[in-house]
Amino acid sequence: MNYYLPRITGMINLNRSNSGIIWKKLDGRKKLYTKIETSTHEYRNWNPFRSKLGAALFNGLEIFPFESGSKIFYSDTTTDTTLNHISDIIGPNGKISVDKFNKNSEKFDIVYLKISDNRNLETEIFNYESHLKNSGFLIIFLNNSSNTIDSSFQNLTTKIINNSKMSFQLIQEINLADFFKNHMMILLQKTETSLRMV
Amino acid sequence: MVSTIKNNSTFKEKTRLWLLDHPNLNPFNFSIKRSYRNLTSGIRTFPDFIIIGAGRAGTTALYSYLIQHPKIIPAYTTNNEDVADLHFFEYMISDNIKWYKSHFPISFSKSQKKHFITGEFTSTYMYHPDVPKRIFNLLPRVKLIVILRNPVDKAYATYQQQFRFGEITTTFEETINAEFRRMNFNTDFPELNSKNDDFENSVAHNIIRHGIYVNYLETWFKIFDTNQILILNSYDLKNSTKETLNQIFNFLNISNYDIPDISPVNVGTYTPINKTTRQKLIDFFKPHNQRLDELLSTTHNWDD
Repeated sequence: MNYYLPRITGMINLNRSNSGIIWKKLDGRKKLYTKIETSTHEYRNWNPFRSKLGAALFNGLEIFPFESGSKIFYSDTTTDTTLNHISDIIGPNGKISVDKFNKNSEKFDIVYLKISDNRNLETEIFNYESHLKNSGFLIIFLNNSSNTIDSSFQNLTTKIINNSKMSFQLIQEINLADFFKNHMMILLQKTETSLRMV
Repeated sequence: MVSTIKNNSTFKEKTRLWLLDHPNLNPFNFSIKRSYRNLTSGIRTFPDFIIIGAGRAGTTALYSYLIQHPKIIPAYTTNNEDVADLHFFEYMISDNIKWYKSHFPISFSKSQKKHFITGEFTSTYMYHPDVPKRIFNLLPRVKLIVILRNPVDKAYATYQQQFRFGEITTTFEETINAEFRRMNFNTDFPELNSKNDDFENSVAHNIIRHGIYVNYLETWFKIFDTNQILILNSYDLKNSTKETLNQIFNFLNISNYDIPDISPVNVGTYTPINKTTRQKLIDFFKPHNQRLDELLSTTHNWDD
């Protein structure tokens, strides 16, 4: 086994027919199934090689803010399967907005953001902050285009954390290199005494 | 919006995923030595001792000293390294007992009056909640060795290692504050936890909690007999190496031996810890260390 050594052991289930992280379809219950129970429920397979959020779960995401009925803004419109899984978790009462903010926009519980360029960091974080509820969560997926992982990544993440320090608290950062090359996830929470509050 | 998602994976990506799903048939993963070991796994032994932790407390050094003893045969590793961390009981790579046995020597030589013992070490066995039961079910008489280090130093050393690996990119203060926040989340909003049974495996996200040794050792003492567990201090291993090694040899029922090479192994070099954060962590660990002393009926001077 030289090609990967994941730190979270759910990986073993990938080698079997009923594999991966599994979530009950449109159930809204919070439980990570690693084995299928004998019941009539329908399950959806969460392949960490296809979904960055699934990869984050495999690599030790501790606080998982998605709940049944939560409202989410989702800015990543690539063709991965994450949206299906999120919709399973939040259930029929939840809401996902994908394209743009409405003009009379309501505030969201969670903002799911993908950043591949660090030029507009400050403005982007400032924009999304105003649409987030107090003590809501900001999930950022970083994609570093250059091949060197260490120094440039550290610059990027420290830049984000320092920029957002006024209104956000760092909860967790996760390296997704086992499943996605040069990818990183940062989970931030909006502080209730935000200085830039709109 | 969901309907716009297309399954446009290429042939290359499909083959890559298929090979990841079938590691036994992966041609890039084939080696003659390993397939020979897999075929002969039926006549191989189980380990006599396991070093279960703690990480960054001297497990690698201890194992590399022990395998210099003529009657201790090391476990085989795929990476052509001297030391073996197999991560078997966490079911990280495989949960097949044959796979586990294939790493140890053939048991015939035991019958030829060449008494020997083998063992493995994995520095994260100590933390995983399911590992004690799994080890007891397979190897009820195995001997377990634990090394403990001052939890503050261990936390800082772990941070430096994970920073080098690229798992962490922020400063030490920022990472421990984030972990304290997550610990508060778990008490205040337990429904937000991802409830991953294998979370304890991830070293980078448990830097502080892995230093609370009592919580982990209590579960081990519930399952195993006290005679089967030997608990050492990394300070003793560093400063009085010969005496501690002889203590281990007595524990393993083998003759004393002067290990030729006792130079330090796997040492990290980094700037010392900030004094105020050190004091903060010492205050945090103080009650837990007292509980540890009560459990082991020893005194660890870790408060300065």
